[in-house]
Amino acid sequence: MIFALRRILVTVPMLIAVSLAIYALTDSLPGDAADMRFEKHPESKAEWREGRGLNDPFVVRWWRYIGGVVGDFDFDRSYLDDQPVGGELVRKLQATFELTVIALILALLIGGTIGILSAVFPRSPIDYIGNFIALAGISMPVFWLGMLLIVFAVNVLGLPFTSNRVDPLLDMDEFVTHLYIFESVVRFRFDVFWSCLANIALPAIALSSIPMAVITRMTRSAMLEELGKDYTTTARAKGLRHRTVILKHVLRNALIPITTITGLQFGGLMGGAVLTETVFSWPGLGRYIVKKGVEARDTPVIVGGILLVATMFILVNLIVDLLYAVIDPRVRREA
Amino acid sequence: MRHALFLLLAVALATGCARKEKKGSGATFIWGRSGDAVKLDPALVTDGESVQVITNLFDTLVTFKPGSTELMPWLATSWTTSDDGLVWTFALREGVQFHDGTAVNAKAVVFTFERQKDKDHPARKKDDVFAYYTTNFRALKSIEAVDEHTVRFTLSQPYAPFLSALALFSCSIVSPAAFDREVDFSMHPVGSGAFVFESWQRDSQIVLTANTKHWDAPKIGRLIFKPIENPQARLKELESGGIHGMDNPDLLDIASAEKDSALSVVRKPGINVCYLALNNQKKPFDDKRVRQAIAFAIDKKRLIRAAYDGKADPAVTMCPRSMAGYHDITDRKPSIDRAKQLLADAGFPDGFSTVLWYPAIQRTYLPDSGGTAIQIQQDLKAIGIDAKLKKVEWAAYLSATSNGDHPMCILGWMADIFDPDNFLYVLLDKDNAVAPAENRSFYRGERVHQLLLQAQRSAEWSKRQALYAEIQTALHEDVPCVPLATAPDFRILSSRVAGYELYPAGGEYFRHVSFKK
Repeated sequence: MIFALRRILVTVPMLIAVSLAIYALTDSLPGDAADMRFEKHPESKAEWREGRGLNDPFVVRWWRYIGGVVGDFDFDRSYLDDQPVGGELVRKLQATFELTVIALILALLIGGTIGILSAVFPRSPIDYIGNFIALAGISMPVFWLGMLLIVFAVNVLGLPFTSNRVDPLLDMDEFVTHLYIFESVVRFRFDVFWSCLANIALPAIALSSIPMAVITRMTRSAMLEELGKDYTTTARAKGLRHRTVILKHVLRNALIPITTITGLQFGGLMGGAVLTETVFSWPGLGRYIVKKGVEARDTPVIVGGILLVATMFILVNLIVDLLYAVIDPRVRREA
Repeated sequence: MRHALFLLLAVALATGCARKEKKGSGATFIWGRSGDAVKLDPALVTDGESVQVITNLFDTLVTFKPGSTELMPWLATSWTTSDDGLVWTFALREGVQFHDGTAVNAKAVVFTFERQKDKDHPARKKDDVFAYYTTNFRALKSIEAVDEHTVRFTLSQPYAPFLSALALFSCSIVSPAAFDREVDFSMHPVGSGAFVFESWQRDSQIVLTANTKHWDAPKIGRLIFKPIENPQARLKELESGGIHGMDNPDLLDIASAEKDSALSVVRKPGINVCYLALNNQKKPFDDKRVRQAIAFAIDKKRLIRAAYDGKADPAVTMCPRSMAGYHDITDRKPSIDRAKQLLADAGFPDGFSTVLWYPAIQRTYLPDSGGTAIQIQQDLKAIGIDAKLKKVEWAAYLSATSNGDHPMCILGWMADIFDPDNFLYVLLDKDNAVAPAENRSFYRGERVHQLLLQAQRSAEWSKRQALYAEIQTALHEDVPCVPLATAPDFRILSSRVAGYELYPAGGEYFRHVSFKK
């Protein structure tokens, strides 16, 4: 527990340094938000810059910003639409979280299964097919795969395709969070639940392609390594069933590297998947930070977004470390 | 565990079939577009996505006839002008209400304009910047409510585009009562338009419902704006019935959409111009012969085939062809010999080297900025001008070119107000050639300046038309910049949809849209 607390506390100064670096970087680029927002109105640029305090020296602005973040948990207002960035980040984070979780569940189920089968039957057709799928998954650009999935769904299967998260006609006034799948189950709103699943299916498949490939390869090699160890032979020798040996002994020992790689993938995906989100118009973090923040030179969105992503990454890594203790009793004993 | 699952499944089957839809009656029309609105306060916005929504929520005093750029009475039923063109008096439509139930009267009109005009207006927030007002209403001196249904505008000098300017979205009449609430007006707008604001989930959807009390009430019950960023995904969603219409299709998809009987493609000549700005303050572009040589070198037809997939019209003057006031000039025939001759006369028989700036962005008028730049580069190479390409990110591009850092740059303009003044004065008058400049050619022609001012101040259209003809002829001779192309506007709709009109003026108006039986 103390270990976890210390890890969190150490990150605070790190995050402040990160914010300074990002703030300085976006500031040093030529052109700013006013150039974009008042593209056709040169005289309004100066007026707006003055009003939003953009004419103050860089250090003054950063200090005001970080003061707001630390003091009031206020992430400033967007330079594009003047709305508070904090609330928007939280909403976008929930959309990203939902997509990431579903994609990773898919990746674990499919990738894990293929990985185990490839390890148990090495150099068999299933190993080669698994290898091929993994290679294809990691080398296919996701925007292309995404379009391919859409075309396949619409023109081949004749399924209705809708982007975004849920059917806009559904009455969802009672919803308080943006975790629609979770909340619809809690509220017994299965109309919303099905609509969410239908909408999330394609982006989740597209997004899961890379983690699925990584998990497949990692599972296969970790399993192969454990399969060659003495305890496996012992287990077999004492007459355990093949399935029990694989699932109870070998897989459990292979879980540590699989957990590590899954955690890393999770942390990475939580930063938002710009390409997937763009193809499927998913209102997530990646699109918010890159499309709204970077393209519009919206410094509060960029800095706030990156702070949030960095925090998420650190948290996920911490959770992974704690998970090791659950999986492996030796880690527990050492701590 | 298994029992719990069965129970869950049973509940799901029992309740899951009950689909709870939003309340309200009538059909729902879903419009897929490339981005979400920024804010919905008509006086503050500067982006097209917000305007699409605003034109459905609010009314202006005058508006555009369906599918045209001609004006018609709207909230104002009639108006008179004083002989000197300084005083405009408008009679308002009676019995109109805002969506919050308050009356649309002269006071509301005065409020709408004074909020944008007075720096210390109570409804003005600290960093509100009214860009469109600042640009287009410099001449407005005062506005007063004569009685409940009459308003009077007084101008400080005659300003011919005034009536066209009143049709601008930024002049939408807003409900004064709505500014006394706790909530932010730009997130919860209240107007008097054909649709009423219902809800907005950022980057997901904006929902409007029909205003049945409107004098031109919509045929549909609900209107939803849905941002779908990727144009191919948008088209697929249209094909599969998730949306009923879309804007900004990929030019390469138009041919296949035209063949699909379930879709209909709407095309209108655009009111925009893409041009090559030559920095008239920099050598060697200060020499008219060099500029003329460049105009002779560029083959616009080939450029349009290469960079617009053939779907654009060559621009001859800086005023688009479909705009009233366009002067039909015969364009120069591309000629390498004449271009070389002019360059030699100017003292550059072997050409020179320079830099051509182009933006890292796609716009309606510039769907392929890189392709456009390469075509121009090749044309210039043929006459000995070695132009290095410089691609600049959009924000930096706008900032640097308005400061005049470029020798040559590619840019475009879409009309705000439907008047030649909005192109010719804004883009080429010497008033606008001071950094940060909209006149990115930094052209300071005195004669053109005088003519432009004269045209701005004459009330008679025939006189203005003659002046604009003279201006365009002078500019064609002087070549401060080379007009390249005018790109058409495209929309794709489901063929079930009836009554859709494309408004070249920008914005979308969905009150006449309905579904075929």
